[in-house]
Amino acid sequence: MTIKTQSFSRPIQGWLWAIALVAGVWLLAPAQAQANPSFARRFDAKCTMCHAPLPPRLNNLGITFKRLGYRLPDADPQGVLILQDTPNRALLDNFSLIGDVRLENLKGKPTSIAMHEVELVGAGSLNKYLSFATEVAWDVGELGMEQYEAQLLFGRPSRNFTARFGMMAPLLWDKFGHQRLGIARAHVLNNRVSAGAFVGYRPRDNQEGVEIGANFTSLGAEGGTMRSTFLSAAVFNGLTKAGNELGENNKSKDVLAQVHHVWGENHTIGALWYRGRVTNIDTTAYADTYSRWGVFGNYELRHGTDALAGFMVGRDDTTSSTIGRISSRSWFAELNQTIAPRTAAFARYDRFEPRRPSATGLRRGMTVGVSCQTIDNLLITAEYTGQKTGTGARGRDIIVRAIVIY
Amino acid sequence: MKSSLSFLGMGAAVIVFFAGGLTTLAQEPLEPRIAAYDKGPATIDVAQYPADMQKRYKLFATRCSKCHTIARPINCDFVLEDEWERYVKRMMRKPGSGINQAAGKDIYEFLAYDSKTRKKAMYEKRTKEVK
Repeated sequence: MTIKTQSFSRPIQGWLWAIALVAGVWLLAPAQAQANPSFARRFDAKCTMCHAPLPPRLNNLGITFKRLGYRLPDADPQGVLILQDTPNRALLDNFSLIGDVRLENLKGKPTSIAMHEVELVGAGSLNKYLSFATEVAWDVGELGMEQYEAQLLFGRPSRNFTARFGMMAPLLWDKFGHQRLGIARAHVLNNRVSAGAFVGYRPRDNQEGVEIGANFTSLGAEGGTMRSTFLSAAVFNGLTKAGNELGENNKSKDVLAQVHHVWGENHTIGALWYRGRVTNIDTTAYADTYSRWGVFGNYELRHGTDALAGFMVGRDDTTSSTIGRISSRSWFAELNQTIAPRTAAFARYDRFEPRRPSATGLRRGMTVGVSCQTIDNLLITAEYTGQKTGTGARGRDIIVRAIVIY
Repeated sequence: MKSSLSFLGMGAAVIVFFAGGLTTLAQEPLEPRIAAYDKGPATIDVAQYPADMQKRYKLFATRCSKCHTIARPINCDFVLEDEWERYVKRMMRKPGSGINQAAGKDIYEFLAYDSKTRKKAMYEKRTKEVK
């Protein structure tokens, strides 16, 4: 009886949230300006200036804008690169409210509709040196600050140094993470190699730390072309036994080095090296170390057709004598195709393969879907994910997601 | 090291907290002139234009709506060739505009033709003022 009540109340709650969000967007949208998310409102620009083919995927202008502390690369009348600070507007215009409602049909579970997450995000440059980013999320009944980050920038627009500190998204090449077109994250980013008492590391989690970067940007001779190279080195607080950030029992620190190059409107390539250590001094004392290196990139084959791929190799050493070292490798390949105005289809193959004595860790998956930005404030995505593990177990998820954004 | 990083994290949190307030104190209003352009018509009836200009209109409508509304150049008060040349060159230099030399020339020619046709009265008035 209790189960029935729960399964009935969740859909009602989800729809109520959705109606409240749509009503909120309608009420909050200022009459004199386009009801666009924060950056578009502040720069009085369209989503397509920084997103291609659809939000949240960034084009190279958007990537560079974000990397340089939310300062927009532009050219002065002589064609020299300049950076535009983020203009400030009214309080409601400087932040974006994002609601994520999902209709889910997961294997072995009843179909449900629910509010997945509500986020308040804000970011921008405060002056030519200082910028900030913040993200507060309500997620399954819990309110938390998922990101709080300050950045310092010194130097010229074309060559500068940055220092980021706070709780940050660590990865520079992020087209399969925060900028993914679909709903499910790539295995290379999302899957852990569990070893003994440590649940394992995954690259997608935000971490608290400090990052030093060097950025080089140049404009082409004509046609608004731009190329940028970003180098960075970061030190993070590391993870807990449960794989979370900021563990009291973890006295070690993690390091991450990255390089990211963007050219043309959408071509990118990036590489990373991560080395971490997690210690536990409780009764189950251990000190695991883990490392990852990977290369990622995408190339726009022709306008509207984008091919993406990534490859990562890992090594996890645990003090548990029964496990020892686990090598892993994972890769993905994805194709995006614009099929209509404001509509893009995507297909991705994932493979994640920790080399254990048995094949239990192997995981393969195929994800196909379509995403449509019906209006600036509404993004609808439908996705099918099929998965198969090394033991032969199969799974499949069908998810339809509506993101309402003000 | 861990306590130092946490201290930096707290510093970042404080900056983020105050940044929300600071950004609202220094408000920069939208340029009313540009807002008025954006509210105007977003299409041009090119049915009576020559075929080559109709083709250039398509290019203009595609390229010049990537970053701002297409209504902005349609309704702005630029009419003279010099103004359009300067404006199109400025847009060509913008990173990510994707407007190369050939596309820029076609867009300029369309805008110059459209000004002489659709904004004929304004074009003649401004030309006289310049002379």
